[in-house]
Amino acid sequence: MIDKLRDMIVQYVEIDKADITGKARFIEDLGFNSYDFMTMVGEIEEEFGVTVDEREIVDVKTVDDALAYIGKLQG
Amino acid sequence: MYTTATKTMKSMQEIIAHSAETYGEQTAFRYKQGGEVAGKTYNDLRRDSEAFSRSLAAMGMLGQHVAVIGPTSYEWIVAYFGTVNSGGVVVPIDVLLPAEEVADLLERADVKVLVYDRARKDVAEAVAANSGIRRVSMQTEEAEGGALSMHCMLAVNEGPYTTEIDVDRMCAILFTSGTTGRSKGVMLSHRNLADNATCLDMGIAPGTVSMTLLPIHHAYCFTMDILKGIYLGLTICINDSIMRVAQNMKLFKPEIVLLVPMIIESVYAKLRDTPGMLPKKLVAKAAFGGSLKTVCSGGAYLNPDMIDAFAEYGISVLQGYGLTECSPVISTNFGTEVRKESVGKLLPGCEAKIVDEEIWVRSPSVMLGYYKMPEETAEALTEDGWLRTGDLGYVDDDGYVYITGRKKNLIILSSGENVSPEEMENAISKDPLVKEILVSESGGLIRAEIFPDTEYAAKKRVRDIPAALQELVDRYNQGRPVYKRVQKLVVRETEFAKTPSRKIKRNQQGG
Repeated sequence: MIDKLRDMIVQYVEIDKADITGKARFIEDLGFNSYDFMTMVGEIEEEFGVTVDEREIVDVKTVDDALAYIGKLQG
Repeated sequence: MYTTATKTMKSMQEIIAHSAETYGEQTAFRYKQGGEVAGKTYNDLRRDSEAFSRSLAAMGMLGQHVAVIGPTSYEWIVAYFGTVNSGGVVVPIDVLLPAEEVADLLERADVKVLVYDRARKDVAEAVAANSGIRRVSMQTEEAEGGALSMHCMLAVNEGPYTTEIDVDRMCAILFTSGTTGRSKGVMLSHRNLADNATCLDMGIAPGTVSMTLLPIHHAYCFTMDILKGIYLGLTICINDSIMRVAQNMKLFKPEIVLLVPMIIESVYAKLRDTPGMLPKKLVAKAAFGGSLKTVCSGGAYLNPDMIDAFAEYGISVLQGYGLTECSPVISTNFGTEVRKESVGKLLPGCEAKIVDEEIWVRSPSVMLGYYKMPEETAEALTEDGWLRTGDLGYVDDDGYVYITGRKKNLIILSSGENVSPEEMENAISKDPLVKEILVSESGGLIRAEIFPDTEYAAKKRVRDIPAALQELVDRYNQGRPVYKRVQKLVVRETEFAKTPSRKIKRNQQGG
């Protein structure tokens, strides 16, 4: 799953895939702005077939958080 | 001093009546509902708004303060007009705020009725436990947990409603970040809002399709997307989430959208990086549903390079300028009279003058004051009605406004959100580990620089001070909307330089 997410991330920010670690924070480390981040979440909804709650997503800070959240949604 | 002529509407009651009479069965709103696209006409909007007014009358709540919280929806808009058109005061609340902050705003704004979306059931529950505020749910068909159902209310109370409106009375309280660290309730009148939405003919035809995607509790979105859209007879499509802008563009195919610089820049980066050899206009068609011609930009300053960049894709970007205190638009570029470096021409009826480099404006859209804050009101408004904008700049001989800087201490993010550094500093510095703190903006991120209290740390045996401070900041961020979070922490080893009155000098930044 992390590879799929990495592929998505590099479409939004200029960063090497290798630098996208689990601990990386989307905004502070990867350079996302909040709009890009939300747009990517919209793409994740489509790609992973999940429905995201906009208010829960504010607690997703790192790549690991995102993977755990997607995993939880997929049940 | 610069001024131009004006011809406008004076109240929102007048706008709703005008639109129902002029556009009647035309579609006013389109939005997604249970996998389908639903629509409401201009007649529906008047009927439902009047039914909401009658519902308030039935509750004995006419003329009271009604808060509305939720993402943009038809129900949100009906609650707004039903309140103001029956002489009440609407208090739009940011849907992303934590419940305890919402509760504080409701109390400060003397709210008697809360209309809430299911997404903020938590707010309704908190309110139910602690106050006598009446609750109305925007979605439930049946009354739930003591709250009333808006759908039932509208059905039971259907019928015409009208009342005499004093157009110069307050009809809305909009909270905005204050420079003193406490948000301020901007009081706007019927005339303030109606004038702002109707005074300028931008040459947009009835039936033009728009899509609204900015937060509706902001004056820019409400006045320009909703109120002006209704006045013009547009078909206003509601974007259901900021996560789905691209999908909804393709679904609704808007011709015009209102955006903030952050979104404009992000969208441009995506367009620019689109691989392939397609002509730019086709790339844009694919991205925006095929009809987009105009983007209005506001909320923060837009890099003028974006105007040329979008022109290559066949899209005009019109930059404007305003403040909530001015309902909010002060100036805008439009039509063929675009001046790239300027934030546009003063609206008709808006006067401007420059006092010590600061732009002062006077117009029918300038607020009545800040709710229950006489000192702050006196600082912002002069006795003869001038609003001190806090922005530095000049106005050319043709009435075009140019911004050169900012006098007041507010962080204006490219998302259009205004953030008060003092508000964050006051909250974070409550922790005894923080001796001094300075919050500022750096590269689009909110940055906190902290000088820790090392004596306290020693006493409490805090070994890793940076880690403890990061934990503190994480705790502060928890549950707050992204624009109110500290995104970068810097720990100082020395005290901040101070002014003679022992205040931290704001224009300093350490490593």
